[in-house]
Amino acid sequence: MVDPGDYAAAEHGHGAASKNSGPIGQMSPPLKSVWLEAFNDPVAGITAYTPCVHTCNLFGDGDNRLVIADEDRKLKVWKGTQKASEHQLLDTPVAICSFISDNSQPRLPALAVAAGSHIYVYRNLRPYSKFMLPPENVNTEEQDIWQKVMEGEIVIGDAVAQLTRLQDAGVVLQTRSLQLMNIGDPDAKMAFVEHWQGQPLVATTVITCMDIVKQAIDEPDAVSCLVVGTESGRILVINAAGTAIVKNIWVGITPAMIAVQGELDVGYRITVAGRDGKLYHIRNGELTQTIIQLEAQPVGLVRLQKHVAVGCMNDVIHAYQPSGHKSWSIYLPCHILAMQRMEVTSQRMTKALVVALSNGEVRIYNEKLLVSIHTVPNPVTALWFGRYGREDNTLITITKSGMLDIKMLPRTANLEAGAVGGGPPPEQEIPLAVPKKTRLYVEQTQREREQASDMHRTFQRDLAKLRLTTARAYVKVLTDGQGAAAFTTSTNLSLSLSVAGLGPRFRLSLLLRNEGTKQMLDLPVVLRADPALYSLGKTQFVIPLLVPGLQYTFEIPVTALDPLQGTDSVTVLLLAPGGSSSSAPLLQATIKMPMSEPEDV
Amino acid sequence: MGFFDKLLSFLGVSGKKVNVLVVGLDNSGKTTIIERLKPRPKQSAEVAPTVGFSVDELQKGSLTFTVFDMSGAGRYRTLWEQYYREADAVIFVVDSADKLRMVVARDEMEHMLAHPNLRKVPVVFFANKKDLPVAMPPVEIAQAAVTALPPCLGRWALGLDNIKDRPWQIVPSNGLSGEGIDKGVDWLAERLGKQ
Repeated sequence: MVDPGDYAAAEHGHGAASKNSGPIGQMSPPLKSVWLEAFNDPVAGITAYTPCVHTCNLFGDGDNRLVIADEDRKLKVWKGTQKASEHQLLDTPVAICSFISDNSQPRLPALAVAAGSHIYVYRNLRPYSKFMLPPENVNTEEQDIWQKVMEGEIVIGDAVAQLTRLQDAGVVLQTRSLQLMNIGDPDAKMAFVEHWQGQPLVATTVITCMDIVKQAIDEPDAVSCLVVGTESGRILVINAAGTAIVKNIWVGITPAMIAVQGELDVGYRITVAGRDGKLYHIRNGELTQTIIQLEAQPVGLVRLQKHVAVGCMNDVIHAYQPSGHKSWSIYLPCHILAMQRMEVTSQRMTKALVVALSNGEVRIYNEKLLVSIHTVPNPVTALWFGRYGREDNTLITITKSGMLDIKMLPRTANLEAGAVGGGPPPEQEIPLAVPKKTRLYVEQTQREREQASDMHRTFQRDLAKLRLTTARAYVKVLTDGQGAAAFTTSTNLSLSLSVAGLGPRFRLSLLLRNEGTKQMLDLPVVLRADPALYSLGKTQFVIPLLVPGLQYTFEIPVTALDPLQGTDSVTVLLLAPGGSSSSAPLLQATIKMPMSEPEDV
Repeated sequence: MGFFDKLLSFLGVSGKKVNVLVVGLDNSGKTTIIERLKPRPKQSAEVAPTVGFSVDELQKGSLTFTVFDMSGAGRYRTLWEQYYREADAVIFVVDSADKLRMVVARDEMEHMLAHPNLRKVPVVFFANKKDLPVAMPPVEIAQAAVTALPPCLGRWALGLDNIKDRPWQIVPSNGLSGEGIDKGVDWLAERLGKQ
C-alpha cells in the first residue's frame, strides 16, 4: 500500500520537476544523492564534450590522470586537484582514447586524439605518430573532368556543365567540384582552378567518433585497438600498433556514436548510432541485417551488460538487445545532455547508467530503476566515470561554464535497485505458500468433472428447501406472536416492538399499523411482564381508533426494579375490540429486555 | 618521557599490552610510519602496498603495542571492522597532500567512529607527508565543514571538531624522515597509561 504522504512529498520534493512527459508521468522523486563531493573548481575553464574526456594511468604510478582534449586545441592533463600540464594540439579534437599497444613492460597507455582526418598518438605526453585515414574512392568521371580542366583541355564553363549533369545523375560530388560550381565570377573560377593545379581529385573524410576494442582479453591493461567511425560511413579498426587498418566495414551512413563490446580475437559487436536515426549492428566485422529505427535522433549511446542504451531527442532512453528486441524504456522529464556508463568495481551489480538532464539533474539508473539524483548548477557538457587519482568510482562532470566537478562513490553506497523506493516492494519477493497438490485434491477435481450436473441439481434442490424452511419459520414467528414483530391476516394488523434506553429505565415503543381497509375502534392493549423484575408504566390501555395505513407509535416506560436480578421479556397483547365473539387475543408480540447499565451514584 | 617511564615501571604498571589499530586510505603512509617506530636496525628501507593486514609488536616506554597495520585499498577496507572490538587505540593516517580523497578519508573515518564495536578509545591522526609543497596544515584538515565557507574550501576537511566523545589529537608528520611520529605515539601512550 503506498502511503499518500509519499506522493505529497514527491511533489514538493527534489529539484525542478518540469513537464511531465511519457505515459507514466513521473515526477522528480525525492532521492538523495549517493555521492561524496570530492572537488569542485568553478573556474577550471574547460570546454569539452563527453568523447573528449578520459582518465588513464598515463605514468604507470597507479595515480590516474584526467586527460581532456579541449576545444581550444589544447590537451590538458589534471592530477589530483590541479592542472599538471597543457599541450598543444594540431587541430580541434573530436575524441580521445587511451590504448595499450603491446604486451611489453611497462604497460603504459598511449593517448590517441582524433582530429580532422588524422589520429595523433601521444606517448608520455609527447607526439609519437600520426595516422591518416585512407581516402575514399572518387567518381572516375568527375576525376576525368577535373583532370581535363586542369590540363586546359576543356573550358571551365563546359566543365561546370558536365559536373552539373553528373550531379543530376545522382553522383555525390566532392567539395572541390561543389565549390567550383558555386563560384559565379569566371575570373574567380579561373583562380580557383589555378589554385588546385596539379593536385588530383581526392576524397578526404573526417573522423566522427572513436572507441577502443580489446584485442584478446578483457583486462584493464590488455592490448587494445582503436575503432574509428568516419564521415563517409565507414567503421575502421586499426591495429594495436596504430599503423594499419585491420578491418574496414562499410555502414552507409555517418556514424554519430559507437559502442563496442567483446574482443577482436574472441568475438566482438559494434553498435552504431547513425545520423539517420537508426541503430546498426556489426558482428565480427560483418554488418548484420538488424537495423533498429529510432523514433528520434540519438544523443547518447551506452553499452550496458547485455544490451545497449540509446538516449533519444524525445527524452527517452531505450535499451535494445543485439537481436533488436527492446528491453526497457525510461521516460525522462526533460532533454538529455550527456550519458555515460557506470561500472562500479566493488559491487557485483550490473553496469549502471548516468544521465545528465537539461534541468540540472544528474540521475543514476540501475536497470531502469532510478537510484540517485543530484543537481549541477550549469548545463553538463561531459560526463566520465572511472578511476581517477587512486580512487575507483569517480564521477567527473564538466559543465558549460567550464566548471570541473569531481564526485566519488563511497564504499558503502547502495546502488541496488530494491533499496530505494520506486521499485517493487520487498513484500513482492516473498513466494506465495501454495499448498501441495495432494491425491485427495486430484480425486475431488475428477469427481467434480464427472458428476457436474448431478452436483448442481442436488445443490439447487437443497437451496430451495432451505429457502422454504426459512420462509415457513418466518411466517410462524409472525403469526405466533412470540417474536418482536407480529402480523395477522384475519384482522390485517402489524405490530412491532422496540426498546430504547440503557439504564434501569427503558422506553418500550409499539409500532402499530392497520394493514386493512377498514378502521378499527376501541382496541384494548395489555402489557405483561414479571412484576418482580419490571414495573410497567401502563399495564393496559385502549386505542380508540386505528386508521388504515397509518403508523401509530405508543411509548410505555418500563423500569427495571433491580438491575442485577436479570432480564426477562415483556409481552404485548392486542385484544379483540369489545363486542366481538372470541376472547382470544388478536395479536401478540414479545420482546426481551436488555441488561440495564448500572446507574452512576 | 624518561622520567615518566621510570615512574611507571616504579609503580609496577610496566609491560602493559595494548592493541593499536592503524588505518587510513591507501598510499597514506601507514606502513612507513610503523617502520619508523621500530628500532633502527629492524627498519626496512622500502615498503610495498600492504595486502590484507600485518601485525607488529613494538615496545614504547612501558607499554607493549600490538600494532595491526590494515591495508587501505578499497577492497580491503571492509576488513577494518573485524578488528574494532579488540582495539585499545586507533591511529588514523591521512595523506595531507591528497586533497582529492580527503572526503573519502572523512567518510571512512565517520563510518569507523560510528561503528558499534569500536569503544571510546583515543584516536591520533597523523597528517602525513607534511614535507610535500601541496600538503595541507593540520588545522585545515581538522576543521569541520562549515557551511559559511565557500563549498570549494569547506569540503576538504575531516571535520574532527565534531568528535566530542573520545580524546583525539592531530599531529603533522613525515613518514620518510620520522619527524612528528614520536609526538603522536607519546600522546597515545600517555592517554593509554591514564586509563
